[in-house]
Amino acid sequence: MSLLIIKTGLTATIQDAGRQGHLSSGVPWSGAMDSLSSGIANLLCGNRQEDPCLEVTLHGMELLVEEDALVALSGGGSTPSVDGTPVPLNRPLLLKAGTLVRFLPSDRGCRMYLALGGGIIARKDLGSCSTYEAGALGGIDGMRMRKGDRLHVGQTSSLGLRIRESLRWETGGLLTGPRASALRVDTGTGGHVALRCTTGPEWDLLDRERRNVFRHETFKVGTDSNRMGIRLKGGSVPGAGWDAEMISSGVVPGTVQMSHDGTLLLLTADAQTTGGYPRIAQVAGADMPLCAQLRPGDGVRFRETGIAEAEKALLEMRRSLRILHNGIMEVFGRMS
Amino acid sequence: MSRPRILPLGEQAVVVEFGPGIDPRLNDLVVSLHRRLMEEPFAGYVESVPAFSSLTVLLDAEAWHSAHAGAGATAVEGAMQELGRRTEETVGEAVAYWEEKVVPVCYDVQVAPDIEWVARTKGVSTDEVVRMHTSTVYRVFMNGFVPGFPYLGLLPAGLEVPRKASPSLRVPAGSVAIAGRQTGIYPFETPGGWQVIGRTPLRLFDKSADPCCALRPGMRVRFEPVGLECLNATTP
Repeated sequence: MSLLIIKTGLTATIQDAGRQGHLSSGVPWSGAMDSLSSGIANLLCGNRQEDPCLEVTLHGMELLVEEDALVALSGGGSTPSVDGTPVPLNRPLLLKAGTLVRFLPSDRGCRMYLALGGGIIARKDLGSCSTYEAGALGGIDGMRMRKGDRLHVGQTSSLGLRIRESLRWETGGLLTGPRASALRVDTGTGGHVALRCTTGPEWDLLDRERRNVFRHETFKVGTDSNRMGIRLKGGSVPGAGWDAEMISSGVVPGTVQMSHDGTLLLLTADAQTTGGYPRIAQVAGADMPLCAQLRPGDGVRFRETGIAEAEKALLEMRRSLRILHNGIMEVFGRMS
Repeated sequence: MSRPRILPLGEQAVVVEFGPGIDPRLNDLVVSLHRRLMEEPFAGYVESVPAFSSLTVLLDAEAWHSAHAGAGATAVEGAMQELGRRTEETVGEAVAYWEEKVVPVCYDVQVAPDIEWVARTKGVSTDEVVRMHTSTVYRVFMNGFVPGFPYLGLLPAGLEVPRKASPSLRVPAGSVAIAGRQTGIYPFETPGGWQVIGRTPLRLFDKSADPCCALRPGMRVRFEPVGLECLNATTP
């Protein structure tokens, strides 16, 4: 089974749950920016939630389905469409050979995840298929998708086969399955997001004025944001008198650094493993999927929370994916 | 030496800060704790990131909780306690870990675009730059920037130069560069702001090797001058 990349759009990369164990060598975890949407898409076509899938940033991509494929889409940033009709998100569907899928513009979110029943076959480097371009790791030749690349699909699991058998024709001529309605990343935020965060190791370096700015200002997502980090510009942070460069120390996805001119850098999946700007806050892990869906121009506010609350939210998010998995097993696992 | 500080970095990481500054003694403690954790990980330990004077420890809250059912504390609180104990042990008996590596470097101006500028700036000959750069045994303080990039120090004060005002867009793989009291090697062709004074044929990052990184925190490094032909012979 394979899909052919006709147009790449802005950026698309193959991502799984990321590679752990090499941060001390300077190798970031990488992995799907929105692990909730990638997990949902994978589970819906009978995969493990950490299987490799395609992360499509904003619109413009076009894919030709070369053989019938069980797929699921979850996330935002584009409207995947067949013959101009949007295909439903968050449910399994069968795309027939010869179908052209176009990722048309959408005004919400930033990243769409395409999972294929059986998973995408990609190069495994240091334990993961996640594409990390700066280190030429994973994906196809360690690079983002190029025109003419083919996505080859692995062996569909028996669960995937049963999901596929259960699909029913829908008006509009698509074979679809049940929707995972309760669980999805809320990309319909209208461009304003509140992110939960805890204060970081260098929070104490901030004077009162800067703390107030961080707490009350709405920051704007910059166009120069990417998989390494999201640049957030405020209006009123004074640039002068702030000389808080520190000796490089560890940073992780979710770390919020404040640079000299008051710009915040929210680090994400492909971020460097160490950094020299003060770590003023840490976004709750449960809100990282939301960060992945931020697009240039969106507004961001920070809401302080405690570590116990952040941990609870994270465990809750993990549990919700397990519930979805159990539900899918319940519905399809017992079919003969 | 000041008392180490142990601070949360969100709900999934803890930072152990051994003190301020780029100090080999502090870095010894960082490397010792890092190795200790890898050898004897506690429940919920995922991995750790050594830096100049701090170690960032990443946690899996689920794994911590399944090992401490009903503990009532967060994984971060539990890890902070555990790391407090381990840090004390480490400070008590920091293990020196000195694997030494000789790195061949070609200082020919053809592969050292900034060596003449460095020599002029410091008022010495390029031979003297080479002599100073090769006369020191350096410590790998940490890796970072890109996979396999080693931060080495301390550079002799006589070679201390600032970074470039604006970074070069393309620094070739293997470039040996200096800035401040540090020297480093670019594993890949990347943009970079350090002054390039040589090139090594050594492969710094090899994803199929274990470990994938040739120069790791705690190692000692000595540079050995080689000719251009040596570079060409071993460069793939």
